[in-house]
Amino acid sequence: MGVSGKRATLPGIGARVKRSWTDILAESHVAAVAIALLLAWSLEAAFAAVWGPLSHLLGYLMTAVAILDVPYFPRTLTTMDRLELLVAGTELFYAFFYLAAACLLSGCVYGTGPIRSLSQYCTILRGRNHD
Amino acid sequence: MIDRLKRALIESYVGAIALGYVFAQSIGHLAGIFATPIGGWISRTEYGGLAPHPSALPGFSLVEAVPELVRFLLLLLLGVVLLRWLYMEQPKS
Repeated sequence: MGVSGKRATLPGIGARVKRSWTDILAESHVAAVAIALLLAWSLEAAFAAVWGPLSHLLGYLMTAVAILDVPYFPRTLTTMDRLELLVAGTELFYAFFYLAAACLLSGCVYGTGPIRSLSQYCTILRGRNHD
Repeated sequence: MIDRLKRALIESYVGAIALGYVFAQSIGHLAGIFATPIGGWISRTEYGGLAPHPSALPGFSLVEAVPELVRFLLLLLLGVVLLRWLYMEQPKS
């Protein structure tokens, strides 16, 4: 992002003007696509992180309802449990990293948060389509 | 021919979508640079005993991050080159 001052030509205009990388990323819609993808992947990773523990909890509750009693619950973590925790931790790390990257990219290019920049971007696109 | 392709890529937004995907993928591989060695180290610590020769397993190894680093750099380079070609150089026509 820091590389600014490249000489570029605005689309449809013959004159050569100075544009920074952030301007090009914003005007070419590349930044908006990247932010949307990073947000979607962040949500996907967060969902994948909580899916394992949540499914265990749901299974436990369903068993409790089915047998009308307190199901067996092991006191220590098994090898599979630890593996699932490792996978969940990795997914959680990716979710935070994607979210942080989306925030950073949105802040650098649009000067706002990712959700706000995308909603403003959608408004602009809708207005352009109606014209 | 090349200029027509470039114009089509810009006007159809295919270029923007592809470039956005390339940059987002490169960020994913940047995350992998940190996640891969740590994940490998944790799994070796936890499950090293299941391997036939546990003493031969390496400890924390930064070499595991190299494939992710190479993918990150190549994707970033591809993204920058395509961005320059598509949006910083105007088609001649």
